[in-house]
Amino acid sequence: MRIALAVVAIFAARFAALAWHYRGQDADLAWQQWLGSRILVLHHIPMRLGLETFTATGAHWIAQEWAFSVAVAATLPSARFYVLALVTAAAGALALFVTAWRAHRRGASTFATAFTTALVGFAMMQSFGVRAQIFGWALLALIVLLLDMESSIVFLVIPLTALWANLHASALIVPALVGLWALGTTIEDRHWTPRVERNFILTLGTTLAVLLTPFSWQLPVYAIGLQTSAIRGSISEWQPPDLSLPAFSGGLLPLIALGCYFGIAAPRERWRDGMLFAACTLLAFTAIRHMPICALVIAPMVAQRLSNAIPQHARLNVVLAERFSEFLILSSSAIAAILIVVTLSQAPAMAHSTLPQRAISTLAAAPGVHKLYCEDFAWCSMALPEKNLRVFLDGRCDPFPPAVWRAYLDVERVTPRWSGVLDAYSVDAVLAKAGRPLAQVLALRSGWRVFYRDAGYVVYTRETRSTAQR
Amino acid sequence: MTARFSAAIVAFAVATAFVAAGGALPEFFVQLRDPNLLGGTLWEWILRTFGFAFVIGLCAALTAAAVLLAAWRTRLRGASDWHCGLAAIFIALCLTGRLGVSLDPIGWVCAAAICLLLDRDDNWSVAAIVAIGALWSLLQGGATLGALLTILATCAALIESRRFDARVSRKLIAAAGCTIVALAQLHGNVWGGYGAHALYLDSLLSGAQRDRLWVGSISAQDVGFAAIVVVAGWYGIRRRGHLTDAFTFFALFALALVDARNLPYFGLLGAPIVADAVASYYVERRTVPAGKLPGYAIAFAAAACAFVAALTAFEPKTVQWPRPDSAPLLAMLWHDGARHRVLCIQPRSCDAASYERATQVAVVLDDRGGIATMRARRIERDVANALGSWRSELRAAGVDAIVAKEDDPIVSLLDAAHWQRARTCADGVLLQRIALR
Repeated sequence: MRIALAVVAIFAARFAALAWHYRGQDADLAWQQWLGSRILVLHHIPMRLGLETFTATGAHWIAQEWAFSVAVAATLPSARFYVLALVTAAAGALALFVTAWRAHRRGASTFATAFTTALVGFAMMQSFGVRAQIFGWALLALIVLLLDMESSIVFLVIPLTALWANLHASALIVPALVGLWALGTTIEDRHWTPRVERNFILTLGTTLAVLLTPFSWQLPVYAIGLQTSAIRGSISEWQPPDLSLPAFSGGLLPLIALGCYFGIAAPRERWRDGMLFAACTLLAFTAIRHMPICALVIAPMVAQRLSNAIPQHARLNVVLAERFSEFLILSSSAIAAILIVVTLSQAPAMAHSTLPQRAISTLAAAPGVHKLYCEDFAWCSMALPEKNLRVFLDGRCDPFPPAVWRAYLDVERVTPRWSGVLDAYSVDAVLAKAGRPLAQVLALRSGWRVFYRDAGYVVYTRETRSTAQR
Repeated sequence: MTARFSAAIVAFAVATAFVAAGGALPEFFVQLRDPNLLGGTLWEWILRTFGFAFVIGLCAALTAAAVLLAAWRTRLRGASDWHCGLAAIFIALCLTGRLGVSLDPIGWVCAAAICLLLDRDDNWSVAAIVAIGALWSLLQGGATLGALLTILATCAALIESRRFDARVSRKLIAAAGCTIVALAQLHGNVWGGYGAHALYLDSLLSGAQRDRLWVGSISAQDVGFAAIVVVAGWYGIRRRGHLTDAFTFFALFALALVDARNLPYFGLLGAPIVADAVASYYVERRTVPAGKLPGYAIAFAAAACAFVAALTAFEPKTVQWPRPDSAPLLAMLWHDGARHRVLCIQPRSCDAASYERATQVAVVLDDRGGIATMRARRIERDVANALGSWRSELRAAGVDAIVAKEDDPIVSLLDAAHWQRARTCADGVLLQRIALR
């Protein structure tokens, strides 16, 4: 287990370094801060989009990340963002640690536990950030550990699910996983045993727990609707994983391959494991954002099966258990952790923000109210606090109606309808990445002029503009 | 209820679905003109002589044969008829994305036959494997897969026996034979000019055509892929203790993730392994089929002949050529007498340019990304994404026509840059440089 801890420490260092410098890397923090501030001021959660957008004012909004947004608002403006960053990194590390512990509890050997923990760490790297779902990962790891333990404290799953549901809508996965677990127990026991009864009660409990949010029944409806939403095609994290992603080819894929080689369910008639493996593998193939979830769930199962081939008494594990080996690995991991922190902190991409804050603040300083279209909808999140900027679409993205999404995509993909959309919505400012097709086509179009330009971004405004109202 | 005919029923259903799909894959038009593939010449002769209905029936029958060979391989391992049916269903799902006339069914049959023979260990099988490998390399571009399969089997045999025994020697001879015939390309021009595909690894090159699983809505082939992986994960392919199985399964698993065009091979070669793992868990007494392969082969041939004959009889008797979707757009260039250089935003759309032997139309890139120059792929990538100095690259390459979809960014960008729509068809559009027309 100590070797696995060394692996966790290396990834924890990487998570901490990434989180520390995350502030300038993700525009979503801007709308989360804005939402959190509004909740703190208004003492209630906004349920509709306001005048900050001109395309969907009044649209119904499930602000599912409300709790995390409050945390962002409480830390970001007061220069205490590092607290949230470190807590998020700790949540990621906790998820890894709990997964390693779960493998250890299942009797996995030293090598198997450390190896699968490293694979989970790689699988988490793609989606890691100061984001609400990271807390979901930690809670998921705890929930599946509780399911594995099969003791009376398993009912802690219910409050953990309620907590998760208030952080992120991905908590909807818990009733499904617990339901499959209960079904697997039924098949394994072949009778209505106390264990089966407990797991079905747990399924019911978690189903009710996801309703324990300010949105009650609306959260599940929202989460289910998101699965077929048109917005998925525009968000990279909703795309299927590809071999070119290190998190997939170096993290999740080896885990799935090991599972396929050794077999998860049949050798010991573990229907529960088999069902979770099947569900999570299917889920992971559909979207990048599901990769860590799958890895966290299946890694201990894989470690357990891998231990059949490389048992604890195998030479490799005996060597790993020697004091000198342990010392060598622990000291190496400490050095690796330090090196990761130092090199990541000095990386240019980390040291400087890659977001168009200056472009937006320059536009906000211009007189009048502007209707702003952002090529990447997340950038417009930074315009939300500006009183004289109204946005086409921003990082909240989910509440915007499909028609607005189609219009947004017409402009972003520069279809022949792009200028018609900008005219129809009376957009008078467009923020685009320099050199991209949208910037190119605006440069060729009469009636638009460059209002702002820097190395990465360009803002075009209409030459004759009527002032909008906010 | 007997399950004896379950695999055959599935195979017949696949053949019917193949015919119902009705069209030709765009790649077929490249394969037809590939100088290194005799299959193209053979198919063209059959097309001209017997008509499209006969060709589609033949392709369907070959596909059914591949399914039955894979099912037979499952059965020869001692799995029950039910498990053969399960394997056939998995294969059928994996094939759904590639149902259309092309040379692929030849490759599918050859791959299934080689794997069937690799499960055996005798001199006759070695000779048959090399012969099939040679035939495959003559007819279709996927023969490198045959070489890969035999090399993997040799490695597995060597690891399992830990010494160079007769079994390893036989596998090695088969591997050497298949590798030589796959690489040497016994006919054609230079082997650098070969290239319908080589395991579709070229799709990883920037700018090249690539098909991926799980993109867009979930399709039947995605379900087939997932079903094989999940069942393998459930039962474990290690159960039967054959290292060759593991090597084959994971190689094809990775290839299917590289490009979805490899998925039929994953289905044909992976499903029997998975079905066998399932069978080994539930069936205590494994039984080997009583019938002999020649008998079954004759029965299948009779059924296939009846199938193709019926299909041909009910279809129009005229010799009918398939038309690629982008043909109407390119046809305008074929017939205007001038020389053109065409770039297709989706490289596959340019496959049709090979179709008419129109020497006055040269394409920047088609489905064969592997044999294209790095410059061609860079131009393709830059223009398709409107990146960097794509306009000057277009000019430098002498491109005067572009085939795109209506909603591609290039349509808006080129409209503004004095290009014009020469023709539209469905959601495709042909753009031509005004100055050069």
